[in-house]
Amino acid sequence: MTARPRILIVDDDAEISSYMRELLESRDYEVRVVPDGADAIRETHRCRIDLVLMDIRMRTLSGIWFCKALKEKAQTRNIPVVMVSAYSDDESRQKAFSAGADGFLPKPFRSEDLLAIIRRKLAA
Amino acid sequence: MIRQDNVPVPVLLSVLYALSDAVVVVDAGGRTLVWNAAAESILGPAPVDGEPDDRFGFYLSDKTTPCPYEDLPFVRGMEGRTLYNALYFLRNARVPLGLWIQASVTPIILGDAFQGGIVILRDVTRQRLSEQAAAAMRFENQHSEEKYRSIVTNIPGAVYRAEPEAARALRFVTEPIREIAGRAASEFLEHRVTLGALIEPEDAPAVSRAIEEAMAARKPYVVEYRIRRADGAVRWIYDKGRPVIGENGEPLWLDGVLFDLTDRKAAEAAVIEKTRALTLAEAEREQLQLFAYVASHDLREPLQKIMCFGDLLKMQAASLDTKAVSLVDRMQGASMRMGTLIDDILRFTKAGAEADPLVPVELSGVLTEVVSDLEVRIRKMEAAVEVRALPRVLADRAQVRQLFQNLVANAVKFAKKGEKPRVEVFGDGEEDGFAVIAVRDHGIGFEAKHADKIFKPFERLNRRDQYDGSGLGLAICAKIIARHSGSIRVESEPGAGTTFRVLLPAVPASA
Repeated sequence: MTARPRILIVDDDAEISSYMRELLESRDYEVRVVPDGADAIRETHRCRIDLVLMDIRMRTLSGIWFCKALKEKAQTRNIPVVMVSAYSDDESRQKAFSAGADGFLPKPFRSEDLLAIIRRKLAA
Repeated sequence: MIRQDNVPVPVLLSVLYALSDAVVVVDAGGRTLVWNAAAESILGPAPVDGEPDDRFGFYLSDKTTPCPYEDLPFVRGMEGRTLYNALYFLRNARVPLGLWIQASVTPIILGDAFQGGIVILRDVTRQRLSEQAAAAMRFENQHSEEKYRSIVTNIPGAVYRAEPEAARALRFVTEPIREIAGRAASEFLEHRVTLGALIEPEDAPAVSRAIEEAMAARKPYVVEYRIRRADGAVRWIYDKGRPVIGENGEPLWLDGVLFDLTDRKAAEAAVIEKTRALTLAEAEREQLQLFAYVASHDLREPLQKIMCFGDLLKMQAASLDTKAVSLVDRMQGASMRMGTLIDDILRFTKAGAEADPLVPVELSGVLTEVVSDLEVRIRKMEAAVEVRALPRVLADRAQVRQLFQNLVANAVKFAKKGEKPRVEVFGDGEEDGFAVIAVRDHGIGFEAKHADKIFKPFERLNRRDQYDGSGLGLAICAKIIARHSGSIRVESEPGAGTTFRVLLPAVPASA
C-alpha cells in the first residue's frame, strides 16, 4: 500500500489549521501543520511533503516570499503549492501565480472546493 | 543820392543778368527783348525770332495739365495781361525733375502806349517743398493724434493721468473707467473721487507703498488690487504706470492704465479650487479603495470561520438530523454569498479608476476569455452563448473584460425558469465614433420603467432568493463605461428578454 499523501498546512490561525487538519485527515490525508514560512521550509527539508497549503498572508513571513523560496530550490521545486487567501482580487491572484503557486483558493471556500483543488494538484 | 534815371543801359542790363529770378521782356509783337541768364538756365536759350511758340514745359499747379497757351506768362506779357505770383510747374530738358515757378507779369506802358510786358519767374521749389513737408507733418500729426485717441479708447482698460501722489486724483481718464470702477470719468475729473479711495482697505497700504517707491526711484510700477465699485461689487484691478519726471527731477504726474482682472482672477481661483478638489477626490478615492481592500480581507476571514465550523459541525453528522444539516448548509450558503458581495464591493470601488491607458482591444478575444471564465455556470445552466463578429475598441482591457463578464453572467442568470438560457453577443454597427456591442438574452426581461434603476448600486428587480447576486453587477458596468466616456442602453420586455447595447470608443481606421 502506497503512503498516504502528506500535506503541509502553513497557517498562523490555529482555528483554521485545526479545521483543515480534521477535514483532510477524515479524507485519509496525512497532515502536518506549521505556523509560519520559516518552519515550513525546515519541514520540507526534514521530510517528504506532497503538497503545501498556505495562507497568503501570515504574520511572520509573507506567503509569497515563502513560495518563492520553495520554488527556487531544486529539492522542493516540484511540490505543488496551493495558496489560500482572503485577498481574492485579481492582483493578489496574479501575485500568487507569479511567485510560483500552483493553485489559488479565495476565502471563503467550501470544503468541497478545497478537497477538489487538492485532488487536482496531487494528480497533476 | 543815386539818380536812377541816369543809369546807363549796360549797367541796367548787367543788373538784369545778375538777378537770380528769370526775367523776360516781350514786346506786343511777341519778340523777346530781354532773356536773362536765369531764364536761360531754366528755360533754355531765348527763342531766336518771333513769339515763343512752344510752352517751355509749363504745367498748371496740378503738375500734369499742360498750361493752356493763353495762360503762358509770356503770352500774358505780350497781351498786357497782369499776373501776380501765379504758381506753375515747369518741367523740360533743362529741369527734368521739375521746378515750382511763381510767375508775375507786369505790362510796360510808356505814355499811353502799350509796349510789352515784363515776365518774372521765381524758382519757389525749395520753399514749396518745405511747405509740403510741413503740411505732411501737420497731416501726420493730426492723423497720429487720431490714431492714439483711437488706440486709447479701444483699449479694454482705462488710460489715466494722475496727480503724483498715492491718493491719485485723476487729471485725465478714458471712458472704460466706467466699466471698471462703476463711476463715470467725470466723477474722477471733477475730483469727486480719487483712484486711491476706491482701493479696498486691505490692499491700499501695499499699493500706496509701491507707487511712492516708484516715484522716488522714477521707475514704472505694476500693482494688482481690489476696488469696490459704486454698486458694491469688488473687482480685481491690474494697474501699470510710471511717473513722468520734470526738469528738476520732480514727478509731474503719473501716466498709466487699468485693466479689470476679475474674470482672470476668478478663472485662476476656479482652476486652483478644481485642482484642489480633484486632489482631494483622488486622495479620498485612494483611501476608499484601500479601506475596501483591507475591509474585504478582514470580512472574509470570519466568513471562512463560519464555513469551517459549519463543516466541523456537519462532520458530527451522527448527532445531527437532516434538518440541522440543512440549516448549516444554508448558513454556509449565506457566507458564500457574502463573500461574493464583498468581491463586488471591492470591484465597484475599483471600477472606473484610470488604471491603464485606453488601447485598441480586440473584443472577440475578450469574449472568449469571458465565456471560459463563466464556463462552470454556463455548463450548469446548459446555456448557449453565441459570440458573433465583434469590433475593436479603445479600452482598458481588464475593465472591459469585467464589463462583459457581468453582462454575460446576467444574461445567463436571468433566464426563464425551466428554459435553457440563450445569449447572443454581437457588434451592432457604429454611432458617432463609438462601436456598438449588443448583449441579448431571451430571459425574463423587465419593464421599461426600471431601465435607469438597474444601474444603481444595490438595486434589484427580483427577489434575492430567486436570482442570486450582490446588486452591484450593472453598477460596476456603468462605472466602467463612464471611464471610457461611453454609454449603455437597455431594451427589455417582460417575458421576451433584454438587450444591452454598450457604446465604447471605436478604434480609428488608421490605428
